[in-house]
Amino acid sequence: MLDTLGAELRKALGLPGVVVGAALAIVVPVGIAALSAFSLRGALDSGRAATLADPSTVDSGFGELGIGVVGAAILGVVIVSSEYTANRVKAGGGRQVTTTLTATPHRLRVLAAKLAVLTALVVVLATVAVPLTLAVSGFLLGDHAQSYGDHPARAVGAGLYWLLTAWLAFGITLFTRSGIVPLVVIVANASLVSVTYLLARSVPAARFLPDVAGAQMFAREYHAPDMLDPVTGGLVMAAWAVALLAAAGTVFVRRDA
Amino acid sequence: MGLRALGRVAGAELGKLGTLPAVRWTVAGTVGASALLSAAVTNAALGRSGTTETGAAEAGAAETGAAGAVDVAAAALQSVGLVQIGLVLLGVLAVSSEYADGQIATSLAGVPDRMLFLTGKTVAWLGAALGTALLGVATSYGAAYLVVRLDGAPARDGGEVVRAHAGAVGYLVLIGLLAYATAFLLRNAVATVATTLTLVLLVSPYLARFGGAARFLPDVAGKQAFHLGPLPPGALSPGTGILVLLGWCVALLLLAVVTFRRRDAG
Repeated sequence: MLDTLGAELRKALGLPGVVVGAALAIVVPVGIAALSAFSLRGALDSGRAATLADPSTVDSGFGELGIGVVGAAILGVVIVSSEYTANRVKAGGGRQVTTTLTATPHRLRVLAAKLAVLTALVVVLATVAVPLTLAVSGFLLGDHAQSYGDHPARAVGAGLYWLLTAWLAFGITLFTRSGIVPLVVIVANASLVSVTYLLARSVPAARFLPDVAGAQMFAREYHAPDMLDPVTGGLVMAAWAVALLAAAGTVFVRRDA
Repeated sequence: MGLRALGRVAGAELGKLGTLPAVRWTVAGTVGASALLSAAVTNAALGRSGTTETGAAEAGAAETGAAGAVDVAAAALQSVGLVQIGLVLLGVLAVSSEYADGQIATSLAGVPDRMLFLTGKTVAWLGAALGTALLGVATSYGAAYLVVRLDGAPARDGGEVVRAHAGAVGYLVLIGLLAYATAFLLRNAVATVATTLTLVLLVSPYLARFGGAARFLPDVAGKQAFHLGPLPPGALSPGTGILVLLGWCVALLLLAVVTFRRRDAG
């Protein structure tokens, strides 16, 4: 098992997609949080708060972490989809997954190792990106920053949100065996015109959707009625992730690779 | 390169494009999704104008003036933000399919002139994208119109509606072209989708909120083409906006041409 773990870690770190995803996970939230805090502070200092669409600082930093989740999701997608990308026909047209399963003819062990590597990478990334984003945002907002208060709990919530989203991406990609569909779904849904967010504003049951429920772990100004409380939300998202992983794992074990 | 040769290459490329299952699904999904999204957004706008709720920034876009009236055009154009995913995918798939299993070797054996190949492929792609964008915007408007009519609310349309919808079609084609050019540089579908969608859907809408130089970002500028109503101070005009997006496309296409001509094809 340790050898499989080491192999999967080295494979993951050798993927350009993982490097890009990791870079995005840090640069995007920190960069946008800095810009956002900078312009928000300027507006608040000069008393132009009324001209802003949203002058609140409650979600400063945390909102940006909701975008940075895309980096973690890319990791989850690429670690699986890279196994299924076919090589050039001239080079045999083989896929990595054939080699992987020849070397480790135990599918559950491969899957467990991959999931463990993904978890470790996302935890490391979140441990760097989450405090850095919050610190940058808080520092640049100066006197306007929210008092520390429940920040640690929300920060852990944001990190969990990243991890669970990466797991969901991992699970969806195991089903589709191609990275495009999960990427489109997750990136589109993290955007300003998120489909699940729009749904949550009008359909009460949408509060149980994984990302809507999970966002309650760190978002305080989620402009939709009747949201779950943070702990329940986290548990609902975790239930989605575990169920999806179990289903995807069954498919991976039983299906022709 | 003669026009007849170009026509033959474009025809061949159109045939290749039309027989890719992923492309067919993308086109069908784009048109279907734009109808559904537009109906949903319009329906939500009707509900809001009924209760005259105000405040949230995105709630204001589809409503105009008097309570109870919903602007069909504004509601229909709101779905463009998501419909553009379809055009981005179309641009990526057309190129990445060449590189997924070495198709490009066959393509260049058939058309050894790389410039001719690239021009023909781009012409064919532009045709497919224009068709998809036209269908998407038309169904989007149709769905919004139907929802408003079914609800019995008055449909109000300004004179600039046609211009805005033409702008939306142009925006969709050009944003797809941007992804198409990026795909020639990256050659990998997953990498291109991740890069272009993250930039277009996440990074630039957030940067746009801070104004300044962000208004010259390709999608921020291009979105001015289907802006309805008076322009906020400092914003680009519709014409300038679409030209800025076109400039980005030309620059990236030039980069793609240079790379494609010099690089080992495989």
